[in-house]
Amino acid sequence: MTAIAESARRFPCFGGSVGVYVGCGELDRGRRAAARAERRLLEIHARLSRFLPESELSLLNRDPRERIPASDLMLRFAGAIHAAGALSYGLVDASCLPELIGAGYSESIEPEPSDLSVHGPGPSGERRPAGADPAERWRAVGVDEAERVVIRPAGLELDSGGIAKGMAADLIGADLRGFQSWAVDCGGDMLIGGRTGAARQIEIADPLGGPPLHRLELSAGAIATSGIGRRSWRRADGSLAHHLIDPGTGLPAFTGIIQATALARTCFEAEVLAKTALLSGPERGAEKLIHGGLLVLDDGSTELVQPTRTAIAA
Amino acid sequence: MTSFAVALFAVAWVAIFSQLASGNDPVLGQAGNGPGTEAKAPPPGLTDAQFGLAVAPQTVAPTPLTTSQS
Repeated sequence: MTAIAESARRFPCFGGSVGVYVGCGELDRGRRAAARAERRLLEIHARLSRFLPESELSLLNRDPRERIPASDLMLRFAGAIHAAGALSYGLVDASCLPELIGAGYSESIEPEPSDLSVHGPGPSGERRPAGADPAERWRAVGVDEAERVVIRPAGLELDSGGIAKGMAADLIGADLRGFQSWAVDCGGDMLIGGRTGAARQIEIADPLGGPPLHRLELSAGAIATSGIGRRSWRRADGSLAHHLIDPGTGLPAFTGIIQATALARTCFEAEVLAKTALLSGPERGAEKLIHGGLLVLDDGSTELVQPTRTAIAA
Repeated sequence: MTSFAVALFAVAWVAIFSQLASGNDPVLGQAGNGPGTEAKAPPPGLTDAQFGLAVAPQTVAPTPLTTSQS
């Protein structure tokens, strides 16, 4: 029996590297599907990036109205913001854009490995679990499906971040169902599937640059990794900052966990679970990985939450 | 029959049998179509895949992937 390779596309998108893989006995059909997925992902990025001044998200963030006509994609994104806040009890809060910009994340940052010292505790040596913003601004983000408008208080700006990547992987995955095997890798947030149920090998990278920390086989489902070691920078005062904001303080979170990987049924859910686990800190992080995953602590130790199945698709 | 005629007859039969052995009926055309049928070759451009005939059993090898922070 011969095994054929998947048709693969890898390209810059969402400020990082994105990949699409399609396995199909008819190679041309697989190639066309992968190319179509690439075009769609780039379109999603163009609409939801806050770094593109004319993106739909940038226009929405500048719009003085409280009810803003929106595309299907933006309606879905606004719904996802609310869902992320609810699933994470306010820890994954897309309304923290002013705090993120205030911390220094005002321009797109390539996810290159940063100074390893960012993997330690906070600037003054503190480690503490993140908390929700008592104002819960994310609750004010809503959708009027009938009128096709996004509702949010005037002036409330939204960050797309990982929520958009997870959502994009789920949208593309829906298009690829029916192929023998397929995967969408939105910069480490992956959705995997395939008609044949063939297992795909997934490695979890070591944020400290060592060999892979864990290897698993997944035939269907999602896996996402979040961490503070990339998209990080040094502020004017010399202190290190990164892109995962503690909504309770409005500052970069140093919880004692430097990387969290979560398995889930959808990529959006995996993304939210990974961030929730990281922001919850070592004491409660593992319990957030309800479908399994891996935590990396700032002392370099790891905690594995064993998945119970190799297929966790909804 | 003269010896020349016998030799000519033998050469002719050898030629006919060699054609039959190679699968070509010198009267009907290509082998495999049975008596009274026309020889049919697959139209150019068609592949086994389009006929649904697998050349060999095929499986897809899923590409290994790595999840990391982004």
